[in-house]
Amino acid sequence: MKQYAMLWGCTVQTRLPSIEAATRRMLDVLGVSVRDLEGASCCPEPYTSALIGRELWYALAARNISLAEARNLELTTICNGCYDTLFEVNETLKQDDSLRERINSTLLRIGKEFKGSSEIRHIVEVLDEDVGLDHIAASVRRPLSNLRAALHPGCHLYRSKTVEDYDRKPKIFENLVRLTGVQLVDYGLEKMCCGYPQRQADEEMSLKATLATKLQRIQESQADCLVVVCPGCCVQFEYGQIELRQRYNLDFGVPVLHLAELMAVAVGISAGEMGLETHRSPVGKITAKLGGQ
Amino acid sequence: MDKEIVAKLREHLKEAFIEATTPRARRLTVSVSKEGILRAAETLCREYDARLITISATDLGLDLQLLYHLSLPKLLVNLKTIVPKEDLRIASLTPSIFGANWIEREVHDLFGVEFEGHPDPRRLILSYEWPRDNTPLKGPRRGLASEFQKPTMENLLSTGQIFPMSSMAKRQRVKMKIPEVLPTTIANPEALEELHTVVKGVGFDGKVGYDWKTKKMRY
Repeated sequence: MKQYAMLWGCTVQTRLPSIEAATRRMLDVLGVSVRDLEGASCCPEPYTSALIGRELWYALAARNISLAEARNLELTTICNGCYDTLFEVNETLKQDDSLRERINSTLLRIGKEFKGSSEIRHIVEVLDEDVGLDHIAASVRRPLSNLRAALHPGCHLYRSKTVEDYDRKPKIFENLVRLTGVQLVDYGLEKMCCGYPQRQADEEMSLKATLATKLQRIQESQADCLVVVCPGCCVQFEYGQIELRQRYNLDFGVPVLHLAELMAVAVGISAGEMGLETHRSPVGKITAKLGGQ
Repeated sequence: MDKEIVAKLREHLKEAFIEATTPRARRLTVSVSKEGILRAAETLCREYDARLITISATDLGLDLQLLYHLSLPKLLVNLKTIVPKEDLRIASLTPSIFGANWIEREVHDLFGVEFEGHPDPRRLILSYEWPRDNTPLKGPRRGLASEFQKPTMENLLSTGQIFPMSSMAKRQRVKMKIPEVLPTTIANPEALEELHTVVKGVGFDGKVGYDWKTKKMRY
């Protein structure tokens, strides 16, 4: 089995460590070897730095990619935001010779070079293509057949090289969730943004017009929980629910889990072991359906 | 002649000399730090018979840009300097170039720049009743990042990550039996130094208005 360099991302390491704990344990069970990307910085996130200083965005992402290249490892991530940045920078620098030269002249000051020798893989691609759905299905110890889940793939999971390929990863995400045995519910707004990036421009619109609209439909679909594959979306759904309750008296009470946490439970890891109680959404409501602590 | 002037200014100004460009024929723009502006103007007047035409000021958001326009025989020289809004003081040219007198008084009225050493810093454009802290052509200090974006940028530039690693997160991580801190720029000073080199290399710190001493935005 291949070994990967893992860029965990800022959100996971500082705000949602249960996703990291779940991913490490789940990948252990599935026999996937990942190494923390030593010396990594923020990807950097695809909103603020990319908008204010695109040159910095390219340079820091290229530096992160070069760390993996120097170790001859493919780079993977469990964060859609990190994936979007790394994927776009990797593809752009491979194709734009003058930009690559300019970025490499900056990286030369720190003894690094972007070679463009590797691919960026979202964790769902690693699970689908390298681990294999059959192997994952055979590893499920605790089918979650009494859990009804709504899915939110997140905008950046649609990032692809070709138009035809745009929904490949969201479909993999859906297939991976199915393997855990949960019942998927259709709420009709799966492709709608969570509203996280809109916060930069208008927090009220982000919360009331976007987030609350999705949560309302998820609540009406009678899903037990929402499953995401992006820590940024997870923060928006969890902290956003708190803000909706405090500011606008809108209470949805939707538990939110990352795909890795759901899969970890399915392959036999206990909810307590990976710290699911640290979530800011009411995950305790579904603990019993996840097999208890 | 341009090259000779640039060489002379470089020699006189030393570290106060930043760069020189020739945007078009018979035009020379020399960037100098504000500490070097008096020496630069004096050098041009004394050694090249320059005449001060005027001084123009532009509000750049975080800083004011002052352009000193000097006419030499067959050449126009612009001395360009930046004055940060936190400290709007610069040496007055008036004691040695008297033609700067009213121009500096006008820039002081409209932009609030204090020309240190000016012998007669009275109001020129504005009435004497005009409030001292109201400088009509100088806006508030502002930069590219919005209030929402500032913490993100400050964390990224100071630690290499956009969220701080709290003690609670560390406790949670230990309890989950994962590394207390990942081997990222948070725990690796050499990696953080690399990031800072990249930030400075692409000029992002100046562009976004980041103060390395306070680790905060200047606005």
